[in-house]
Amino acid sequence: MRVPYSWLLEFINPGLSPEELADRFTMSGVEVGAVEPFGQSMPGVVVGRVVSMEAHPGRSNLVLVKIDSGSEIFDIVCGARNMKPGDLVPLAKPGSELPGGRRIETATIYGALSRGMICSAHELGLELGAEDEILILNGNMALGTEVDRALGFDDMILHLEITPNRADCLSLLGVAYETAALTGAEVKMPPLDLIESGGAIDEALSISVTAPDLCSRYTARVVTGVKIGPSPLWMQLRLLKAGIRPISNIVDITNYVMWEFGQPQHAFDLGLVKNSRVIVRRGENKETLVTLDGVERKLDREVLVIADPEKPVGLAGVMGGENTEITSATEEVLIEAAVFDSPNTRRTARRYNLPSEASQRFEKGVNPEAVLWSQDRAAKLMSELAGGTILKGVIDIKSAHPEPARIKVDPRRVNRILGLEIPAPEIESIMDRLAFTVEKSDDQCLNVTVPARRADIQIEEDIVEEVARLHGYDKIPITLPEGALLENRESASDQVQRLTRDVITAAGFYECITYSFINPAGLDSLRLPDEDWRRHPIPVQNPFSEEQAVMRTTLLPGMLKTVRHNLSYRELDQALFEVGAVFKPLRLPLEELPDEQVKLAMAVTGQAPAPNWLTPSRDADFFTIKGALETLLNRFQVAGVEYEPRTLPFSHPTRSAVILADGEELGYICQVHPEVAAAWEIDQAVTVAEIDLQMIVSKASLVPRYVPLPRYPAANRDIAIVVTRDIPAEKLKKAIIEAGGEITGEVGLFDLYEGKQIPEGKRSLAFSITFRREEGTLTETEINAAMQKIEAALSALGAEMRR
Amino acid sequence: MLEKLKALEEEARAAVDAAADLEELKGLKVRYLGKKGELTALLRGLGSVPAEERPLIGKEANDLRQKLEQMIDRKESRLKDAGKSGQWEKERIDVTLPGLPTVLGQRHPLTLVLDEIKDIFYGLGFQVAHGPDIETDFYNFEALNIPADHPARDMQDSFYINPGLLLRTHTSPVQIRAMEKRAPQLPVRVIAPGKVYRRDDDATHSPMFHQVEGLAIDKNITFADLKGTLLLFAREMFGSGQKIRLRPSFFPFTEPSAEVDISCIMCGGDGCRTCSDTGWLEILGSGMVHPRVLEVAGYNPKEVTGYAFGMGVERIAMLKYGIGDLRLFFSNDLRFLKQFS
Repeated sequence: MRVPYSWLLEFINPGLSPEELADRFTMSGVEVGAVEPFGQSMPGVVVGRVVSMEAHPGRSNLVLVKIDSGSEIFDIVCGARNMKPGDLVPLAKPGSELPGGRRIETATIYGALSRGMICSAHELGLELGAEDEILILNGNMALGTEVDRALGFDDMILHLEITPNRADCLSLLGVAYETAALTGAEVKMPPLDLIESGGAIDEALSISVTAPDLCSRYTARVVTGVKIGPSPLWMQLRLLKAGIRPISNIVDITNYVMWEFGQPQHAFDLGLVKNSRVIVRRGENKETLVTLDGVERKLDREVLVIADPEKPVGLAGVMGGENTEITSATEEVLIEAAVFDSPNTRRTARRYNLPSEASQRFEKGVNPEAVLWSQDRAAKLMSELAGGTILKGVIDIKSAHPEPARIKVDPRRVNRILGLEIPAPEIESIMDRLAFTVEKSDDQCLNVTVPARRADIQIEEDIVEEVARLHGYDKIPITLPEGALLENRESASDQVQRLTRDVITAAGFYECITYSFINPAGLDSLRLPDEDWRRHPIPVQNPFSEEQAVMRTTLLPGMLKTVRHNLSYRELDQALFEVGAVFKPLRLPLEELPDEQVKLAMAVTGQAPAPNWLTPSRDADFFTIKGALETLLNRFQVAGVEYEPRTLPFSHPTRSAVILADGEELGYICQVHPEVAAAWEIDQAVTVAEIDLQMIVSKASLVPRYVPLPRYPAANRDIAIVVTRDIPAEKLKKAIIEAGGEITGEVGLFDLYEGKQIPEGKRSLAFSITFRREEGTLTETEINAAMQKIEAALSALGAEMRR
Repeated sequence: MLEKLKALEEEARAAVDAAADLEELKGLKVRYLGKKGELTALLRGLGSVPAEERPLIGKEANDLRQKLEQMIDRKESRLKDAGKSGQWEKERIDVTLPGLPTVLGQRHPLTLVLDEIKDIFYGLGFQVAHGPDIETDFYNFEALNIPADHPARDMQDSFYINPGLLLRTHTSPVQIRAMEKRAPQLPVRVIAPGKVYRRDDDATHSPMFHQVEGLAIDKNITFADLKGTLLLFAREMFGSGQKIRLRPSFFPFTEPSAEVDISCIMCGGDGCRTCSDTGWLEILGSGMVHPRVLEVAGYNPKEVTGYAFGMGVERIAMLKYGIGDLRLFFSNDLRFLKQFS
């Protein structure tokens, strides 16, 4: 809402500068986004009078004009001829500068000397009249006055950013009341006196409302014998300051009055309304209406229309119809001022994409008190400015009469909520400044009656806010809540997420956060089969683009997209992870909330962290991720973890495993199939993992468990074997532990070799075995016996011992 | 006697310094410190000293013995090292080579800020609550006093799944879930961090971003308590000199409502480009929980009051780290992520 300060002064004199008022507004809840002058200053552009006009001797399309600036006569060559001697016009003297930086100098035009220029409105930066017409400045202006001052370019415009509850501030009157509440100044109403010299309105017009649920009030006045033309310059300037384009006197008056009272009005050419009969009704299917913007709109029962017996003539509250538009031929005007249903207006404006100053006001609610004020005001202005005759009376059809809200306010409760000690009389004085009526009740409470313009005030807490904001939020003391303590330690699942980030970052991985919605094509490129639930994500109904069309069912697409992004910036070595939810629908289409499962995803490509000058570089691979995950699962003491080779739809066929804990699937680690990687435009090996963190929460023990220290020394033996490649290391390790018996402790693989000296298809593995007994030192004989059993067990698996 | 000791020390120091090899040094050790050495010889003359001076002279002599021993030991190490100079040279390292890198990744800057916010509120006795990203219209709007067709819905253009389910537009629904779970018990003190979604995508808006909601419900929670809590938060987050400013505003689920500004962290309140010369930066919305919201969630608004606030995590991270472009957070560019190590 743009508030021209000079216009506001007609309603109230706050005794403050525009900037001071803006500051008070902002600090009391009506934010002022900017305070700026209406126009640029233009030194050297003054009011001049046309003395004479003569044809240019050489050019028939130019005229020689003499302009009196009050102290000097200027000869000017001009292309426009819409002025006449005696008119006041803007004279840009040589050396002056117009908005946009155009400098005016003395020039010779086809042999005639031209000292300066006379300007159109557009040349002064005003969207007014035709571009090639001189602006006629009629009115009470002294010759030689600077035009910027004469036109009020220095008037300050307050840009109010109004929250949805403060519809009252969408009018100058409402802004004036708010100013009064802040300053104590008095509000003045614009003049509403009018002369009804025409016949009775009932004989000229009949109205019926058949959809009272969508139109609780419809009022009309009629003004006859109007002469259509531009509105006076002062009104055009005010509208421009408010941000509204002037159109014609009748239309301008409806907009002008809307700015004053917040009540949208529409003017119909009554002569084009069939039988002078107006029906406010729902639209019919297959009906159409060409609105003022020239677009044909399809109507139906959802839409409220203004109609005559033959056809719709307007979209209620949103836009009028072309068929009853005010034109230069209009003589009789029907002025509409109504109260249309907020939600319905909102839906209609959205549906046709026609948000307007009018629809915005109906959506937020208009002031029922102002309906007839605006009728009187508009009729008065039409009779004064367009020479019309006002018919006697107003047609006023209303199905609901909103009662002013009466609220019981307990000053003790006000103070209790605010943490303040404001005495009751001060609360009463705040109500008074707001022009709310207060009656004392016998129980120390106040009965407050709220004027209709403040429909946002309905309950005691609303009054609490009024008191607080007018008393000043800055005067609220600073305290902290008292009360019982709560158990507020981090939950197990939050702990798991935090510790996961600790461990995974300590392994050299950087955390990513990607969008929860993904492109479904990503799931196709992962080759997930139809029976996989991850292939059937929850679609977003109104996504921005296909890139964000479905809720992710796996974090993998986000990881791969990030890898590709970073590769494109030549970050060849990457170790990334994300902790985030995937969305598993219980059924599709979605009827209930889906299962939101928190996952950990990891991705590595290029060299393993952290390459350096000392240790030989190696590629990040399956074991890079597996190492980090083993550390993580150990940290959480997850028992019974196994890595089972399994080819996944998107994995390298032989470099892929699922992670099991006591037989339950926690997730997977795999190198991405080169073709899948290629589909993501990744041309180097990339290995990924995804595990279910909720499952970890259920299997984790977060508190370390103490085991008594061994009291007797342990003994170590190494064993090296050659065995066929197809026997997994884990199987050999298990065989060792089983065969070695209860004295066998940790078994670790410390060397793996394939190549020279080892037969094709075989590999050499070396394990280090720790033997220990809880009670007593082990003897050489016992250890040798265990080793023999171990060798036998390994031989049974086809292993040869290397000595 | 003391002068003689002094002279002996000078003489021995000069001789040890001049010693060219271990052999010579060994001779010097015998000469000065041996059983028949010069120090012993000197001490034999102690008998001629007056009885009262003897303890002092004795102490000086002992000190000198220790000094000479140390002097000779040090010289011995130096002579030994000099003998192995070839070997030391072979073992020389280039101390200017880079140290071996410690493998360390880093949390996302938004996680860093979220962790910090959580820490502050854990310290203030708040619990952390979570709610689903896909929410019902009831929790996201209705229960928060935003009925269908309410103009406030325009403030938050939403991504819908179907007419009844949507991607939550704020973390406020977690308020309702937390209260429902606890009602009618008191107090309630929770914060709810999480992802939220709005249909906005430009230089200053991301379709997904993060919020932290805060809620406190008890018998006597006041607007002044809200102000105190937020001041404490601002100081913990941005430094102890922080000031805050509350401005009246509108949210359907709070009454009274307030926008909260902190003094500009760039200029300290003097006015600069970051704060558009106002000296203040808006960082969160807040207010006293609307009675209808309390009622829906199972509390009697005549008996209990509460405050609520909600803040944008990206906004705080941008201010805290001086990040100018919101989109960087979701680009996951390693050149960006690595700056938070």
